[in-house]
Amino acid sequence: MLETQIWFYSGAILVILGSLATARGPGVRDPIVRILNTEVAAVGVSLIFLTYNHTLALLTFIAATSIMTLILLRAVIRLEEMGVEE
Amino acid sequence: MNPLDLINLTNTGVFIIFVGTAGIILLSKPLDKIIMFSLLQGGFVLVLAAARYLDVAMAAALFDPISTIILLMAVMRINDIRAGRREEIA
Repeated sequence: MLETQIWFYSGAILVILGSLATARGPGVRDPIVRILNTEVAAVGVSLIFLTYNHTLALLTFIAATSIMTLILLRAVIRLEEMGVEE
Repeated sequence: MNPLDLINLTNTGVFIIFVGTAGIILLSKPLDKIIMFSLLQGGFVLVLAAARYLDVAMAAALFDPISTIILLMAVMRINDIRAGRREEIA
């Protein structure tokens, strides 16, 4: 029982910390830094899924997060090549 | 109560996850951030193993290096593009 509470509260803390760092973290002008801070919130959501025993949701979310990272980074690289930044 | 009881899979995993989170948020260079991100993923696999979801742990262990490699390639590519633009300007 105690383990479940540890997972849930760590997940909640991770979600809060990750979203705050994504919005106003140090060095967040760089898009890569912002995407990496998003991953913290993703791990927090996965821990909350783990608390409620949603195995299928957990599997899908882990797979979707890595694919989402791939697509976002492709878009960032393309924007950087075109010189849209700054 | 034996103090060694505090060292189990869940506590160790959560500790590693928080070390990784602090590293990702506080370090400024993208390469250091990626190293700390793999620490975060290692802690997450540890917590999954503590929950006895070994199939999910296997999927996470398969997908995590893929996203690490994608991030590394993107960082190198963006560094190249920025260096090229700096040379163009100079």
